[in-house]
Parts: sequence; C-alpha cells; structure tokens
Amino acid sequence: MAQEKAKGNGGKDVVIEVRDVVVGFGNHIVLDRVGLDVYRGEILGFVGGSGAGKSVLMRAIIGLLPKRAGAIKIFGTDMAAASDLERQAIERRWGILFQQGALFSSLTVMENLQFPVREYLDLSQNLLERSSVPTWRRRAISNGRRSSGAGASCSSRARCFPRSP
Amino acid sequence: MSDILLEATAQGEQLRLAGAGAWTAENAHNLEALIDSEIRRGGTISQVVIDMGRVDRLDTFGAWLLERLTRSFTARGCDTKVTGLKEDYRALIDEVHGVKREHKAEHHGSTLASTIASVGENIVSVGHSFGAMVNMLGALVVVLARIVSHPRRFRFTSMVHQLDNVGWRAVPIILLITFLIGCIIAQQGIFHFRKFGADIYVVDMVGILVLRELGVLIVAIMVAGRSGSAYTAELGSMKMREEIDALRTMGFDPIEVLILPRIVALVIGVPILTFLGSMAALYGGGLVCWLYGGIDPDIFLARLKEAITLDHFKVGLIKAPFMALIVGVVACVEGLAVKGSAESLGLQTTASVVESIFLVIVLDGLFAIFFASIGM
Repeated sequence: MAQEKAKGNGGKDVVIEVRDVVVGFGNHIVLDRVGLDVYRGEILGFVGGSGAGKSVLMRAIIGLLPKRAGAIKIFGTDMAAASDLERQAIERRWGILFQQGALFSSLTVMENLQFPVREYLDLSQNLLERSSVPTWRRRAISNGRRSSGAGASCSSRARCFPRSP
Repeated sequence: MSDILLEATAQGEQLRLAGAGAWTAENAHNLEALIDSEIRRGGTISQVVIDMGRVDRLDTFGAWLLERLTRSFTARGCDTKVTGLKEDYRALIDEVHGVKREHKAEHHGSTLASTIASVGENIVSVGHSFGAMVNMLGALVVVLARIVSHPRRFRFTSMVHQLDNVGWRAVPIILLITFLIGCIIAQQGIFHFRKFGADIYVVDMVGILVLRELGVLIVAIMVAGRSGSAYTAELGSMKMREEIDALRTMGFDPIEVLILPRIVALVIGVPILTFLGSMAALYGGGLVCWLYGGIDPDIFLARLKEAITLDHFKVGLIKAPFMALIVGVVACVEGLAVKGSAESLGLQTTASVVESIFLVIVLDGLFAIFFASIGM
C-alpha cells in the first residue's frame, strides 16, 4: 500500500498522529481535545493517576473505543476514513500488548505466537514452527495451555513482533 | 476500651464537648455512638465549642467523626468552634473538611416509587437487549454476505469443532431425555385414556405431540442450557481477558471468527438433534405402550402411520433451525455483554439461558399460530 508520510516538525515521520480527540462515556468526557504525535523510532511512556484516561487514549488510538470528535492517523492513514482493506493492512503491521496479555486461552502458547502469521500468510506448518520461535527458546515454551504469569506476558509480547522484526 | 472519649456539658444555650483519648479506628465504633447521640441532642443550642485539647491521637476515622459533628451542628444553625486541636492534625482535618458533602442516596424514596423505577429500568434493559439481538442478527447477515463472496474466509475447522461440541456430544443426553419424555407421555396417556376405553388414541397423542412440539422444544431447551450457556461463558471470558479486543486489533472481525461458526454449528446441529430426539421419544412411547398398555408394536406402528402425516414431521423440523438461531444469537449477545467482573459473567450466563428458553417458547407459540393459519 502506498503511504503518504506526514512530516513532523523535525522532518521525521509521524507514526501516530492524534488530533483534538474527544472520548467520553455518557455525560462524562474522559479525553477532551487531546493531541499527540509519535515519531518514528520514538519511545513514549504515559504517566498519570488512575482514571486519568491513559488506557482510554490507547484504546481510542487502536480503535476499540469510539471517539466523538477529532482524527487519528496511523502511518499517515486516517483510521476513520480508511477502507476495510486499508485498515486491515495497518492492523497487520502493528503489534499491541494488552494489560492482561490477552493470549487466546483456547490455543497453546505456540499457536498463539503463530496466530497472526498463520492467519495472514499461507505458510506451511513446518515453516511456521521454525520461524515463529527461535529454536533456542523452543524448550522454554512448552506445549501446555497454561503458562506462568511471567510466561504469559512474555508470550503476549512475543506475539506482537514476528510480523515486523 | 473504657477510656472516656467524649464528655458533654451544657450551659444554657452553649454546649461544650470535650474530646479525650485516642480518636482512632479501634475506638471509632464507641466514638461514633457517642457523637451520634450528641448530634441528636434536643433543646436549643446556639453555640458549640469542641475542645480537642486532650485528644492525643487522631486518624482519618476520628477526623471524619469530628467533621460529622461540626457539619451537623453547623447545619442546625449553631455557631461551632473547634479548639485545642494539635497542629500535627491540622492537615488531616483540612483534608477531610475539603471532601464533598455526602450525596443523599437517591433510592431512599418510597418503596412504591422505587418499585416503579425498577420496573421502568427493567423494561429499558429488555429493550436494549432486544436491540442488541437485532444488531447481532444484522452483523451476522453482513458477515454471511461477505463469506458468500469469499467462501475461503469461512472458519470451517472452527465450525466443525463447535458442531462436535454442540451436536455430536449432546446426542446421548438428548436421546436419554427425549426417550424418557416419550415414555412418560405414553404412560400418562394410557392411564387416563383407559378410563374411556380410548387407549389406542394414545398413539395419536404421542405421535403428534412429539413430532410437532415436544421433540423440538425439549431439544431447544436442552441446547440452550447446555450449549447456549457454554457459548456465553466462553465469549464472556474471552471478553474479560481482552481476547476479543486483541482479535479486533489484529484485524479480525470477532463475529466472523468466533460467532458465525458457533451459530452455524447450532443451526446445523439442532435439526439433527431434533430428528434423533423425536425418534427416541416415539421409541420410548412405543415401548411403554407395549409393556404397560398392552399395545403390540405392530399395532402401534400401524396406528402411528394413520395418525401422523408428513406435515407433523415437517412442522417440527422447520422450527428447529429457527430455535437454534435464537439460542445462538442470545448466547452470543449475552457473552459479548460481559463486563470485567466474575459476577457479571455469572449474571450474563444466567440471563442467556433464561432469555433463550423464554424466546424459544414464545417462538414456538408464534409458529403454532403460523402453521395453524396455513393449515399445516
């Protein structure tokens, strides 16, 4: 997909662009005209009291919460105006780590790691197994459904990455 | 603790309250009673002086009780003063003082008003869940249309897996229950019809009742309790663990991935179960007629052939996929309505089973009217 890349003030690519976003539940406005630019290669952390709207902003950016006003652009594409195909292309590119991991509990750890790749690319099972997890870590990942808390968070992090190393 | 926490001396219109000891969590229970009795003190009081000089320890509980004391006397129009408060506690008292006055709880109105209000709320929530069901049906149609144009997107493996769960594994229990129901109907029929010498008409009753109504109804109710609840609990826990959100952000439509295969499995499975169930019930009825009523299997079969037509059989089977659709849609809607807590998972699962059984019976009634008017 051809991408027009917005240039930020430093001439760097803007990866996530949030403009005047308003999000609220009922009468309660959580985010009131929030703006945010994340440049390529930048690492940002959010700090704030509980209930300040950190998760709400995140969930609005990834499209899980509807926004009342404003625009959100990811890789230069306006998510609200994007067609299904464009949106899917973006959703394939990003990796999102949820607060509780959000691993699919009905799948094994290995299947969880393979899930995004298996769904989007027509790869053979053998190649999937070789590529999704480095062999030296293979032993660490048992075929069990349950993994420890740390294991779960580790695997959900791993699920975010295989698509764009 | 028997220490004196609060002493009151009234001089004319002036009330002097002297606090003492530890106004802390351990004493809060006794102190609260003392303070409440002071607040309720009758007579005309125009000035209240609260001496905190001998209070040697104070925590948030004590501060709150002091605040309650001053607020309620101020509200009565008294001139209230606090003296002798240690400087260390000033910040705590100010903090408590800054807290908003409590909102009066709204549901302290009359019981009639609150009953009417809760009826209204329930009606609104019924409206909402009806809306959610229509919404889900619409979403299913959209996904179905998408799948018709790209058949490869259909989750065939998932559908077969669900069909195994809700269809194949349900066969033994469905056969057992419908068999028993057939037996019971036949036994009751024989017992009562015999008084009129009309034993043989039991066959008509069992045949028509089972094929038209009971087979499909029992199966739908069993499926609602067995598979509908499972769907709600599965989807609900996926919702709680953010798995559904994760699917969305990876670019998958949860309706296409999770819900459509489940509902398709039900729509395929329930008619088959209905057929098997009806046969088991007829078998049970025939067995009881033979062993209990003395009606030979040959006579039973001959009578059954005369009593029922293909229409009776069709009526039961036509209803089955619609019942399955209702059970599936209700289960999935309720599953997606689960919020973050374990309690809500339980509530939605209960709601799913109750609603789907109710709607199955309502639908059965509507079908009865429909088939009667087209003469089937």
